[in-house]
Amino acid sequence: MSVRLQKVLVANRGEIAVRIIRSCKELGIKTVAVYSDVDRHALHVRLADEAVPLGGANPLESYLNIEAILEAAKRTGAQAIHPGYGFLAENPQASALCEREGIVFIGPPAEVLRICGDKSTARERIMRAGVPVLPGTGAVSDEEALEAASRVGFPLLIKAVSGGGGKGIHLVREKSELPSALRLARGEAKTSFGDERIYLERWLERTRHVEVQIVADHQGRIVHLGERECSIQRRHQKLIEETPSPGLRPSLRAKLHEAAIAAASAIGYINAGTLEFLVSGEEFYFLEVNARLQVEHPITEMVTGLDLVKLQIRVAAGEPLGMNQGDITFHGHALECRISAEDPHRGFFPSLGRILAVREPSGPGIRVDSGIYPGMEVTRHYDPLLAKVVAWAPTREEAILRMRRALEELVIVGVDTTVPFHLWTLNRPEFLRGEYDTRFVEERWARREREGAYETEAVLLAAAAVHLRGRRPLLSISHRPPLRNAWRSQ
Amino acid sequence: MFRYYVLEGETAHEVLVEETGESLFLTFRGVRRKVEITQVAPTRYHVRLNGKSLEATVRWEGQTVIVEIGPERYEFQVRPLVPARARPRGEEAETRASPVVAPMPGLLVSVEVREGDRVNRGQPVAILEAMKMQMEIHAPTTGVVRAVHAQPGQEVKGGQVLVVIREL
Repeated sequence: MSVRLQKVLVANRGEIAVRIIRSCKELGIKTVAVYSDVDRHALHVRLADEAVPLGGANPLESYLNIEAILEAAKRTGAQAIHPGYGFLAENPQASALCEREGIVFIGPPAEVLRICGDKSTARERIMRAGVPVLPGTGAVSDEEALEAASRVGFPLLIKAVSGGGGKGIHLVREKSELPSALRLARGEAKTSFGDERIYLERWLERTRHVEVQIVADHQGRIVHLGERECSIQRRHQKLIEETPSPGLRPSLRAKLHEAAIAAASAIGYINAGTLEFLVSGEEFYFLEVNARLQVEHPITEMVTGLDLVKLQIRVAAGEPLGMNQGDITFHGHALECRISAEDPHRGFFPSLGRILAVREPSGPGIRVDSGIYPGMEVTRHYDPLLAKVVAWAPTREEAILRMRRALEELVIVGVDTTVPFHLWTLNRPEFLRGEYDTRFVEERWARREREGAYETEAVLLAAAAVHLRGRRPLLSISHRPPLRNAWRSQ
Repeated sequence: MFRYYVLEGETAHEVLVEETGESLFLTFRGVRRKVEITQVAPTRYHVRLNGKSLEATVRWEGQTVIVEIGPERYEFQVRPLVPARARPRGEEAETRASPVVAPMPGLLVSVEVREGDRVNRGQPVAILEAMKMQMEIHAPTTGVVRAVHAQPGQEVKGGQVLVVIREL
């Protein structure tokens, strides 16, 4: 039984809300944006057909406010809600409330989210399906955690039971660090997910983080859309993703794909989802299910030619996938660089402020999923992700070169961004060889020696800037009007 | 003809600046270059150096000039050759008081110390939250808390003094 969707409410903000609105429009579906006070001029609000205010900047009043969002859906006549990622995306209660109200939740059914959200149950079932997992615990109190820690073994990770997106994860190398890490992890879990439960999991050094995209329909068909290599991370949050993974032998790749299907089947997964694995040499371990559309989904779209949001919408509406594994083919190589409002030169600290100007890259093989615009205030309330630059090319080498030139075109004025990190990384021989693991940022970037490639230019500019400061300048530093045509400027 | 020292850490670079009509010529390491600079957005410049073309960000943080080109960031102090007036002395009395500042704007989740508390270097004195991340702010030194300037629940600015510790 399938529903014909005519109007979808997008319960998110930023680049992902924009991305979802795009697919809806292409399907001829009307869109409803919701927004917090600070987002009233945001891009997703401007692009949607209708827009409903939710409340204050605090996510609890706005993008996490299930009642207000359901109310907005009913009032506007939206038949479905797409939660994007983060916020309500993996919240079984949100999915259940939608079901109760007769609104389609574009994501897994509540029961599936409940299993995925209860990481210990999910692990148990997936382990029984023959997929290897790491030692860990279920949800634990601080006391239990202190006791269980030696059994799990150090180093270990504290993770939020309702977590995702790398938030609430703390690496603990020895027992003495545990009490303070538990406290921080609980605090973050509570503010980010409204659920302070945490669990422990063994941490392996020198691993690669590889995940497999799957899609399953209500009719019981399940396919994988290949893997994504996500080892370039800081604070357990991804910075660069690519597909196919440059470090997997064909036999291991095939095993991962099979394991992902087996794991998803074991928990009765429906809709688009991702199975995360740690890969260490030729060994791999299931980590967790990301029961949502992921930030890095565009690279999968670039190599498969599929639109994951459209697939999600069709599956949620009850339509069959209409394709077999054999129908899915992979072409070329795709990379994604996440552009976040952070200062990579100072430990990736959040960089807050107003975006003054933006120039986004374009040209062959480049896709930009962005939610930013001049005048936008980057506040502490939301995720620092501003935009994603995706490059596709027939080969990995060409895709990297293409990404480099795209990032040289990209300019964001007003806040610091991760762009300098990406430009540096895309020139590293070990990255070019595909030989990197999850310690890349702390070992390579954090300890790099500056190459000084632009020292002469920088010194000259500094001298010129001081020389010309505070005068009616001789040069065009301000007496000629800025080149507004080339820029989206305030 | 003007002469500047561009200082980066221990390294000093000497740059000569000449203005000729509408043009600016800079000499550095024996090479004289015509320098043309066009502002294309706030803090963003298109620069031509003897025909070489590039874009760079130039901004000020106090007296520091920050230049960003591609993956690199340079932080310079620039001094004209005319020596600046010597900085007045007499700050010694206050040097033993260490302020603990918020490293970035955010919400102060908790303050872990009270006035008069003894603290050890590295001990957490406050917890700050920004963009869903919580971080401990540690005592930079061992000493006694002389003043607490912020309360839990308060929004603080980057660089705002939270606590002052008097070294022992």
